[in-house]
Amino acid sequence: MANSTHAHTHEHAEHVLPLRVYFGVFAALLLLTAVTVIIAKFHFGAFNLIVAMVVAAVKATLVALIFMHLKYDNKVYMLIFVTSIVFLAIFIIFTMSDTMTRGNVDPMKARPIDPRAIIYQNRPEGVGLGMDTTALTDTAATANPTRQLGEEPTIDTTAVPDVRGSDSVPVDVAPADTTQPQTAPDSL
Amino acid sequence: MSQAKEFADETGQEQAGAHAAPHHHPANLAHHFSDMAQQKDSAKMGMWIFLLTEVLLFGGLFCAYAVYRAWNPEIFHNGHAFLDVTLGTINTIVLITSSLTVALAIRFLQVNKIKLAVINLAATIAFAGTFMVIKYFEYMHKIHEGQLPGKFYTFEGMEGTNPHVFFSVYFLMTGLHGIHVLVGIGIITWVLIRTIKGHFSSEYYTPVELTGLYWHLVDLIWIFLFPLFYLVG
Repeated sequence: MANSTHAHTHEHAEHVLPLRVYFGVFAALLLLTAVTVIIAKFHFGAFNLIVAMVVAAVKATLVALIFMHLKYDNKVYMLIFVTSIVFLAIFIIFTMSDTMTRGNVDPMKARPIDPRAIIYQNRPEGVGLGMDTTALTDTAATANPTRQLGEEPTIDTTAVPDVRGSDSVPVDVAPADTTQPQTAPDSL
Repeated sequence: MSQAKEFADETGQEQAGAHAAPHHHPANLAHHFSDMAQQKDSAKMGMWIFLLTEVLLFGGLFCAYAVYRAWNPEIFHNGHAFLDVTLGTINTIVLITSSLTVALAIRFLQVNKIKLAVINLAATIAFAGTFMVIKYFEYMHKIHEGQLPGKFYTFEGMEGTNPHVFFSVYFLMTGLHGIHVLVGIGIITWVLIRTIKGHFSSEYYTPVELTGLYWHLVDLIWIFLFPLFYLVG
């Protein structure tokens, strides 16, 4: 509580950064952008992702500390910002710990999104899906082209997208028999 | 009203006593703050809390990116080849430069160089506009090719199961970011006009500073979007 006038001038003296600091950070950001673009031209597998994220994190830190003045301002702002990052990390880590480990306890029969899904209705059979639809002899697009929005397709409701990251071509799951009339799934 | 007046008088006297100087009331000081520094701290704290919600808003989409990429590594690898790295790099440089100019605008207001602040704010808007123009051409190309989310996906040249998932995530994340850029253009235009009108000086430039914080966050998000979509396949 010394006095606000003093605090005010002091604050100004502290906050006005020399121009070279701004241009220095700018140059560093451009350099890091060049680095990340060049490194991406080489293929190191998972290493690429790590390098790209580390470079991005360094760039973000520079922007936050200097351009956003976090380094010089009240540390409460730093606390707020870091809190948001921490909770984002919790969010992503916990979500991934679920989605990446499904099927680890009990074997899971995985298959891709049903090829008879509405989004595939208007395309020629199998074209552009990048999916081996030859295994699925009788898709809804051919068997039941008039299926309406909201109408229940005959889908094996235990089907889930392949979470194990392999090429999600169905292996051990036979396609549901779509020649049957549209009925409620019986596989539950 | 009279009570508020009394309170103001009281605090005024208190301050005058504490400072042993006549109490003067800056024009931009709202009556519920004791001084400009406190008012500014409050405003900035509010802004940072807003930015926290922005991080979490985009965080949901970053999480979706992580999950879908882990589930479909193949289509994320194939999909990124359909993005133009050159345009993405140019846009990254454009956005970084706009971050510099808005930071400089605030820096020049701190030292009362209003004209330089105006030039830098105008430059920021120009760079933001450039970013959107480039983004427009990128989007138009993808719309033309049918590389669109969900059921609008009609592109036939990409290998992999469920290739539309990549473009769903791409359009959601860059789209929300693009909306933020458009909002930013609007807000920067507003503070530019107010700066030209002489509303801001080294005494008071909080709205410009908060706008700068918002704009830097938009830049921060792009710093992550760029490698995740354009570079890492």
